[in-house]
Amino acid sequence: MIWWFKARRIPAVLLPLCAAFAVVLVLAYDWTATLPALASGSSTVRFLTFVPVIVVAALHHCLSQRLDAAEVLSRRPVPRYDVVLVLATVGFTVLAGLAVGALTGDDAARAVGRNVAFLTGLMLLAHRFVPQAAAGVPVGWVFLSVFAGSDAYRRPRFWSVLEHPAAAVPALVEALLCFAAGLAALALARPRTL
Amino acid sequence: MRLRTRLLSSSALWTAPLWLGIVLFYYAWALHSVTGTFSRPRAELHWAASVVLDATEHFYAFAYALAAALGAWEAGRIRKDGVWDLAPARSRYRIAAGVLAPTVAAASLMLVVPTAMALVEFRPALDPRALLPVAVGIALVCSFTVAGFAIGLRVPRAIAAPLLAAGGWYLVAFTVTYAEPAWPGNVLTQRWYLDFGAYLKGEALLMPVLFCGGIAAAIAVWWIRGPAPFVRYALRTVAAALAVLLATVSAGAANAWSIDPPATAGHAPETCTGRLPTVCMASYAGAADRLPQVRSSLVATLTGLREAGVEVAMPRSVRDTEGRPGGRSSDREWWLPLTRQVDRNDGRTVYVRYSAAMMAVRFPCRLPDSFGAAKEPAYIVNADAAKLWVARRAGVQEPFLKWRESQYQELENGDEVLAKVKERAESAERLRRDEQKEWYGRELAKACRLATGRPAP
Repeated sequence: MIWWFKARRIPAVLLPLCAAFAVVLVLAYDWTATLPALASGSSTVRFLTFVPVIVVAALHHCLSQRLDAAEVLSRRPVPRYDVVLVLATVGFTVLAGLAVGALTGDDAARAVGRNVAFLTGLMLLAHRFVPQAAAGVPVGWVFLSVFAGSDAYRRPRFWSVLEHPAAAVPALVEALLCFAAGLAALALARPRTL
Repeated sequence: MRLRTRLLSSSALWTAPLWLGIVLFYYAWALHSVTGTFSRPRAELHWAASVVLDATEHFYAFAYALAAALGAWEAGRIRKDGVWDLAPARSRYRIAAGVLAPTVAAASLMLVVPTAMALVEFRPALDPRALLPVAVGIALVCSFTVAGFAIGLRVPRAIAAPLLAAGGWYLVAFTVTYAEPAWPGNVLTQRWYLDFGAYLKGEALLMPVLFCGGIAAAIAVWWIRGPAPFVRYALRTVAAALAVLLATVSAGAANAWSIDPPATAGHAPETCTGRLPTVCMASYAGAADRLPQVRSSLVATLTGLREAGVEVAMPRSVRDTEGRPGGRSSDREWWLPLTRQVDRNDGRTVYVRYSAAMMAVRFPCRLPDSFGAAKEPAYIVNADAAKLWVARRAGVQEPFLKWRESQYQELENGDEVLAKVKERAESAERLRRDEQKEWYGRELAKACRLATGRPAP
């Protein structure tokens, strides 16, 4: 397990970026900026919509750092380790988001964990089926959701997930489904033969 | 590498659907149907510099983010393939230029495509100066892609590219949300907007290039590999020091502009016609073809008022404030918003006649700017009765009353005042003509006496 820990670059990459996520969450949770939006011309977008990218990019990088020889030849339960790693990371962001949301009373902070889970699911699915694009899919979704994910009255559309209030049930369900599908793709992936 | 291979292997190509789609949809849909930027007729749509800034406004931040992210991605790619550390036979600058050319092209297209579409759609008279902001944007795109490339050489690309894309877009757009300090928004070209007839001053265009270009150049000097280590370190130090100096100077200059970058107005050409009065309108603001009509209705209004007994001298010239803000009217030269008022009424001249009639009302004193500033707020009844009488002589009571009604909402007894004003003007009309003239003079004097508390001269 130690080799896995090091091969995935968890202490070197994932932990610092998770810490960075928490710091950014605390410092910048109330930033807003005006970005172009298709249906309403422009809309005020929370910085928190973009923050999950930190964790998702770090997870993607770590999961693609493999020691193929050791992972293919051994009978170690590597996919299970990976699933636990993803669950732990997403769990951390959910807790961090809920904590900041409880302390500041900010709804978007409470929703950050859900967004991380959703984007992680997207990334894992892309990682499984179109690995070249996996780095771009989560950030591309954020762009798409900011640009086209709200209607003319600046209400988020059902598919955008990211900008819904924390308690919105459809967004929660979508995020959970996407996350579960991503985890399944990760767990069931056959190690590539050399 | 051949051009085809270079393009096909670049990340710029396979991300194109996203960024090109956002640009095209935003231009075609949002700017026309949602924000009204390009659907509402405005003088600015005939002014190339404004059209270019309106079309590209939202895309500078996006283009920089795309340039930085693709630069980082390409850096990771050539790092992984070992190209960067290849034998010193190949210059690193050639390698960097080779992989960054498609990313610069991609990010520049985000500015060039909407510019070209807007210029083709509106066909304003094109001056090269109108395109300078786009050139500055492209220079900044180059700087951002160099910075992204440098980050991508150090940080794994799967992390650097998404973070630069998301963070770059957001943080550049974020700089407009605060005015203190003002320089980040100004050196990242996020506050550009131009009125009809205005151009950005040279310094507004230069400071962003100095700031970002200086930093990018210092980063690029870091890659030098040829000379001896000592020379290399000396070069890097000098370049870094120069970049810090340039950045400080340009940020300081940009900070001094506060919110609006410096621009000069009055560049739009005018078309003039007639003598005494010479009437001028902005040539390309969309209403210049009505100039003869505007002049004849101005002259007819003033002649009619003089016949009715209003003492008004024919001005020597009447100028259009469109594209020339800040003109002060005098007895001989009047500044009126001619283009706007022609536009406002589908090309009819009611509002032109209205503003000429209002210019003809000359009080013997300076009236206060607001109701509250007057000694005796009742002055408004006499002042407006005189104005209404003039407006009725010129046949423009409708726009006058509409304007006053909106103003009277500030007053507690607005309806009462309005009724009183109408009553005075109507009763004056029942007088003989020479009495009407006297009444008009007395009304002006009384308004002045009430407003200033001093007898009129």
